[in-house]
Amino acid sequence: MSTLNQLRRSLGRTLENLAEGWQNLRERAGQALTHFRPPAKRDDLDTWEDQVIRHSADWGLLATEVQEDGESVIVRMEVPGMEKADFDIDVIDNHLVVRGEKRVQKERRDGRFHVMECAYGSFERALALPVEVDGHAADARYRRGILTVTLPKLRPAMARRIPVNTA
Amino acid sequence: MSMMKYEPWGLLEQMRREMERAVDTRTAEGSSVATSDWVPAVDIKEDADSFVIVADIPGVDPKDIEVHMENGMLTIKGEKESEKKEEREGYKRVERSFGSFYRRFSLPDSADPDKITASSNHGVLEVRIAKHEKVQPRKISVNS
Repeated sequence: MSTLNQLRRSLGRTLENLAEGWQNLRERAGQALTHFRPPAKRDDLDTWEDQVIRHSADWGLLATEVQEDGESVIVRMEVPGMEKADFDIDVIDNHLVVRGEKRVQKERRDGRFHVMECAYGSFERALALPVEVDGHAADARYRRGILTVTLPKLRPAMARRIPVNTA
Repeated sequence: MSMMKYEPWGLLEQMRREMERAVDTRTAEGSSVATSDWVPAVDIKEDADSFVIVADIPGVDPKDIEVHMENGMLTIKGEKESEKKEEREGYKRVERSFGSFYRRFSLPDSADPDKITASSNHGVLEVRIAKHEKVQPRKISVNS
């Protein structure tokens, strides 16, 4: 077998694996995979926290479910380890935009890490909402690492009877 | 002089492995078993007097978490239940996993199995395992 053929086969196999990997990833995570980046610097000081954030995972899963009932759309997002004040939630153009900053806890500031899988830093996730909602009447709660946002529908589903006219 | 294998696709192979690692949700090191439905991400840290394991477990009721240690293996496991089981209708998007999670870690001999504390806050489990006192760093003075 010529080297060229060997190379071609090798490349084909690799790309196949790559494509398959992506597909698995997409199926499993959808758009939940969210980029975490270091928060905007307030000054030039490179703190211990900045260093941890740089070394922590760049990507985290913000697994979400969107549920719709008669009056509202309910969004539940898994964002463990946050403080309520560090969330910034908006409804923009019928998207729910959740921004936040996951901080490294102060009591973990010394010692060294053996494993770092959790992501820290700033993140943003925008979710398209299935129907128009009233952003001003939204309600957000945070419990056990789950952010629950309840958004009342702008036009609640109403049963409508459509009369049939005779021609 | 050492001989190197010609591997022009090394980078792609590496990417593939990275991808597999991501897709396999950290099962590679064999720390989880097939019976678990999801695997939490963890940080493991060591400081002067203890080992600290921090695991992301959003939505898990603290009473459903079990932490135990035997033969130098620390096991965390538990169950995440859906908030409202009865109404599984009206879902437009489902990315969250529910069910049981399981993860094991092998800890060095310096970890003291009798001194483990665990706490859970905002969906983050923190397990702290104290080190045996004798292995804590001691300053030894040199006699002249």
